[in-house]
Amino acid sequence: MARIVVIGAGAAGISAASTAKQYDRSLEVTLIGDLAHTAYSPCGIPYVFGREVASFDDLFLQKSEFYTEEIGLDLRLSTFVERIDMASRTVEMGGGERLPFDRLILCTGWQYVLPEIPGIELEGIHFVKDIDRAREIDRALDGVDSVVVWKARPVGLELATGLAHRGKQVTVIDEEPWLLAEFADPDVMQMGQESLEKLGVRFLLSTRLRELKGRDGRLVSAITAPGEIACQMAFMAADQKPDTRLARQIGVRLGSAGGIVVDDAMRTNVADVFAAGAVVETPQAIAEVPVRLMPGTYAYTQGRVAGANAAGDERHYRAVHVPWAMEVGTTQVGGVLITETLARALGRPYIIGEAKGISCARYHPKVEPMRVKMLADPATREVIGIQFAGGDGVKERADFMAFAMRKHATIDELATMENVYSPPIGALNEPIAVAARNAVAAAAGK
Amino acid sequence: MPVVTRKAPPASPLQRFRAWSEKMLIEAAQLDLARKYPGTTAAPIRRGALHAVVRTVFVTGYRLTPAPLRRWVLRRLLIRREQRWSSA
Repeated sequence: MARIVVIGAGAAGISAASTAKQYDRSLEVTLIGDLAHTAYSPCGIPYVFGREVASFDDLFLQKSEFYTEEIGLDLRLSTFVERIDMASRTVEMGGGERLPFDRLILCTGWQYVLPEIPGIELEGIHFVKDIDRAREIDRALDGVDSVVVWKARPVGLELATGLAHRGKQVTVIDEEPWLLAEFADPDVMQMGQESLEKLGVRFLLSTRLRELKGRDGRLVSAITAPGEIACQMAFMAADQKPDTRLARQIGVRLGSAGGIVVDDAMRTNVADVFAAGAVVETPQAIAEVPVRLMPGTYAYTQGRVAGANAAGDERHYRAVHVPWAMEVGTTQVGGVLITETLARALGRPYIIGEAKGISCARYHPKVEPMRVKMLADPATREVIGIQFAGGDGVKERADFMAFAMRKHATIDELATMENVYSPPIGALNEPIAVAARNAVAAAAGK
Repeated sequence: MPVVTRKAPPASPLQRFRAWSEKMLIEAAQLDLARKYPGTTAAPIRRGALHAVVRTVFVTGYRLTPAPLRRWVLRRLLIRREQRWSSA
């Protein structure tokens, strides 16, 4: 009986292992993870901190028994893989146990890079990922008045929003000049920043966090150029790097972004070794360069491809457009790469069409703004990026545009798109269509 | 408790070059957008005169390179053959 071993029990790993076993029930499939739990959403942790979600238990998608009893996986949690021996085709785990495999899937995900900031070892400094650790942090938050969030990245802003909801005094410190600088342009993010400022969040942007100061081993303040900020906790949305330790051990090729290189069937350069999720590099369709550390949706879908192919199928993944969306304060922001910042950095020509639209009928009490910023290639007139800021409906628009961009939709096609009109849920003029019409006008030099 | 942090793994020369060149290009683009959309960004962080000169030289050279040549170099340097996936 053939055995597949999956290392990493996050989204990609659980997806790969489940898919492999469901594809061929005769396979032995072992899933190994170093954390104590699997099948939970770490992205939900800030929402439990903020009391929007009642309990950490709600973050679990399934109990472990579902995977062992219904799917039939051999689940090894709280298990560290020391090394992989390709010669004997075994995985050596902590404690010395060796597990043979016929095919291997690396879903080792990412880890935070420990920042080189003096005082980083103090108590009260947190890197949010593990759910058991999050429970401890949550209990300790009751005794905390002020917190610092380092880096205005997605997880940083989710933490800032959640902690502000919980009544904490929040200061966000980032060297970048605006929020979500990797995903959005400054004109788009203004609405989100204003929303968080209304919740009492303070921003120190273009600012280095120089030191974390402590007393008796506990954090008491953060030192920046503008001044010292008293705080009892610091949440570090630090750089995340793919965890390639095991991949490097066995000669799996890494790419220019530091992640594992795979083909579109999730195969690495080592025979019978696949990889999926945050640890791999994925080509971005517009920028055409491999990117890494995609959100959980990609990990699940890539895991399915890797798991099925390790089990004997022949599925393929495709280059991605990266739709994204999130709540920042009480505002939603989102879009599909690439941004104007990135287009400028890459040297790609573009035209812009913008719209300050609304989410539904102007006279309806549920009406909210819906700002759209659309980028198109001036030669092909295909959309190459889009961003949204406003109320409900950002996620759906980002999803729609990711698909439209996959189909090479042009501003001319979108300018005449069909849309739903219904007073409480859809405006007469869809903001995407308005932005496209403005892009058409811009292309004509009007 | 499991460890969720570690020191930065060793980077290859190509990875270091990609990270550095992206940083330079994005910094320059951020300065352009700060000028285009006044009042929407914080003043850029001061990085020193040498850094500014190196960035200007690199970014100017990049932007003056014909787009087809730039694209060819990027593809050769950053993208392995097996990473040329279809987006259809």
